[in-house]
Amino acid sequence: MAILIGTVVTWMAVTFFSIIPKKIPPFETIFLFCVNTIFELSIFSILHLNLKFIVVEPGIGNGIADLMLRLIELPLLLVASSNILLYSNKVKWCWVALIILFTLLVQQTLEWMDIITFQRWNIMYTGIYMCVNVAFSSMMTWVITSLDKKETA
Amino acid sequence: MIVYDTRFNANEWFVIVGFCIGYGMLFLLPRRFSYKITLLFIICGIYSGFFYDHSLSVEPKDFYDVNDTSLYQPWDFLSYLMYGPLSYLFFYIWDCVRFKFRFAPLYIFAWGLVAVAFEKFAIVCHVFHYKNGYRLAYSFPIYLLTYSIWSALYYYFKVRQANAKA
Repeated sequence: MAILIGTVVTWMAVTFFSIIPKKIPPFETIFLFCVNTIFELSIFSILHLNLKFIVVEPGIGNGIADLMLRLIELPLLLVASSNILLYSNKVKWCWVALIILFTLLVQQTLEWMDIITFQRWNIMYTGIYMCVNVAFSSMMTWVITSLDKKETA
Repeated sequence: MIVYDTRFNANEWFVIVGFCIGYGMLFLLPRRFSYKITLLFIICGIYSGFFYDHSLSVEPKDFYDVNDTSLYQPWDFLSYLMYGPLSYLFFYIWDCVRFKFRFAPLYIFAWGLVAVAFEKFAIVCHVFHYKNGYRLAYSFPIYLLTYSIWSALYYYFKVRQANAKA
């Protein structure tokens, strides 16, 4: 069941990412995907392995589902949020808020399904954690696009 | 939590020396790529190290630990940064030598051997601690797969470069 949830959620993220209009070119997208994974996974490893705030319950299914979400779903959604933040329309913040709400819903579902357990952690902290990730992704978008502009100038 | 050692010894020196040589080389080599592409090629290595260490060395399989403990430490992060110059060198040498793409499997194989030797040295220095039946030989196909993906990225880069020139 855990793998099924992980796969469906990951595929929803892949579909969402593939249908949104892209504002970031391919090489920058690959760069963002990599740095977002590194940043998000580093924080999660500290929360999970060192502090034990979020515990992935033992079991191959739980482990694989969690890895799918950490290595594919979250980085893809973060790259999507960076793309959306480059739109010129005013509803872009609503879209980013929806992405964050979606990740909160996924986290809550994982907890309800006993795939992960929160210890000294709650869904509000996950919300803050996601906002930090979105901010980091936007910052990295600015870094990589500025490098390009600097070189062409 | 497993603690392998608590002193500043071979594994920490391995990371420091590897880091300094790698990034020193990066600054000394003549520039071949744009800043953006350079950063991307460095991030490729760091990401690959992260990806495998956070998928193979955690539950459900937990095949190895990195550095002094099974926890995530600053030394672990520094050791992942060490992979950055290695991936840059992979793309740099390819770009310098201008291998044809039909020779890519040979180039990847040679890099696979270099990576296994590098990992063996890291094991001797106690950077990696294998568990649950994992062996050095299992890393070889992982390296081949990783370098194949990097080669695909390099191919895409060359195609885009050629299109931009045209």
